[in-house]
Amino acid sequence: MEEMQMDSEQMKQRYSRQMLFSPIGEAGQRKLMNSAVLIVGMGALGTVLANHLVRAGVGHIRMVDRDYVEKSNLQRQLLYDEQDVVHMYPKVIAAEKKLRIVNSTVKLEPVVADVTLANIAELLEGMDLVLDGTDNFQTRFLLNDACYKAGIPFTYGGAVSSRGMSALFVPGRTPCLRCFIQAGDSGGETCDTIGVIAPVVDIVASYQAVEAMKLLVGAEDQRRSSLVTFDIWHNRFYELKFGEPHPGCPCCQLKQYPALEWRERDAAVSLCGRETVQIRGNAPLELAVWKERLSPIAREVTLNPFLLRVELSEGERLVMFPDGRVLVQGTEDIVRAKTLYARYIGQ
Amino acid sequence: MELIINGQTQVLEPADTMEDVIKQLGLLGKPLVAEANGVVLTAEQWATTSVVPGMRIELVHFVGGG
Ligand SMILES: [Zn+2]
Repeated sequence: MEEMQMDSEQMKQRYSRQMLFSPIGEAGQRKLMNSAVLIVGMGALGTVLANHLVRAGVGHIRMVDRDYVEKSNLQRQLLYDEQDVVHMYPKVIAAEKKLRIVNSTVKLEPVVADVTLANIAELLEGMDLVLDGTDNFQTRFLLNDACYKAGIPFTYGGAVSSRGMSALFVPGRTPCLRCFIQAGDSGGETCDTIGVIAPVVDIVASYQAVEAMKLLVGAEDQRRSSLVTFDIWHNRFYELKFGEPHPGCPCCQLKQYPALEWRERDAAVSLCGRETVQIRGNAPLELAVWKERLSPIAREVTLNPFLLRVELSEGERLVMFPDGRVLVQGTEDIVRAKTLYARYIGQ
Repeated sequence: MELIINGQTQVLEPADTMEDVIKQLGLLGKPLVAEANGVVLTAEQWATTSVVPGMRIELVHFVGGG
């Protein structure tokens, strides 16, 4: 918890409607203002989550995302606009710009990074709650395991097509994500292959946000102890009641936390359905230097303070980040991506 | 065999266990929780859970997008 300075007159002006809501009140408002949360993934879910929590006055919001804003995001990722696409801003940077003028009293901490075993502990440091805005199960299992190990609550949210679901998992109190599912493969049904409509995302993120608020103000008796699932196009709603945790759960019961076990992870992954391969280099990239180096041989090179985008004569594009990550866009073939990486960036 | 799956009556080939049902629907290996008559079943319980005609089954697909 962190101390936030704001006199009660200012507080009443800004948050009057929320404070008039008696389950929150002044005491709840102070708790929100003294809370710190991590939002992982600033796509469709993450932007709605951040919007709610910044307006609600959650004191410290750390946002992490590995991507930059593209035109296909604008249909549903409510904090971004056409200028962000033109400037190729990383999502967290674009989000911070918007959110800062929404509520300047909130401490916003944007982090441009891929969430991995290497940085998860640091990202969780000082956080009271983690909100899932990710688009893949690999990261969700990592969050689930890391949160349960650290004793930090975790809200799961997912949306695809017109279907969505959400649950709040609280270590020691509820089952965890792994109690329900072990396999993480979504069978190719992602937003990039079967699409998604914006309203379902807003609903899912709003379910996550309200459970976050209940948790942060300490309204334990009102917390939803189920997993909600719905299809808003086909008009179906179902609640899967939490039972006891699964006795064989490798996370919350056996405390093995499989996602936290160090293993040789392939440094190159194909980002499903997006014609993109991400390669995690092992050294930082000096973008200005790389701009000079690649300008003569590339079709076009664009640099902003956060990334370098290189249009290759082969047709693919490289998007390079200071932390050493490179997105090879225009292919899903890992071998092809590694070839291009080796050709232009080397080892 | 008639089952009520996600609130809708569906006619499937005869099936003995929940695993047979899920296999018939082509959902094996997907991130899925099955609930039979209100009881949550994890994947390893599917093979040992019998299904009978008219049973109410909920198949909850975990959704990955975001
Ligand atoms: Zn568990």
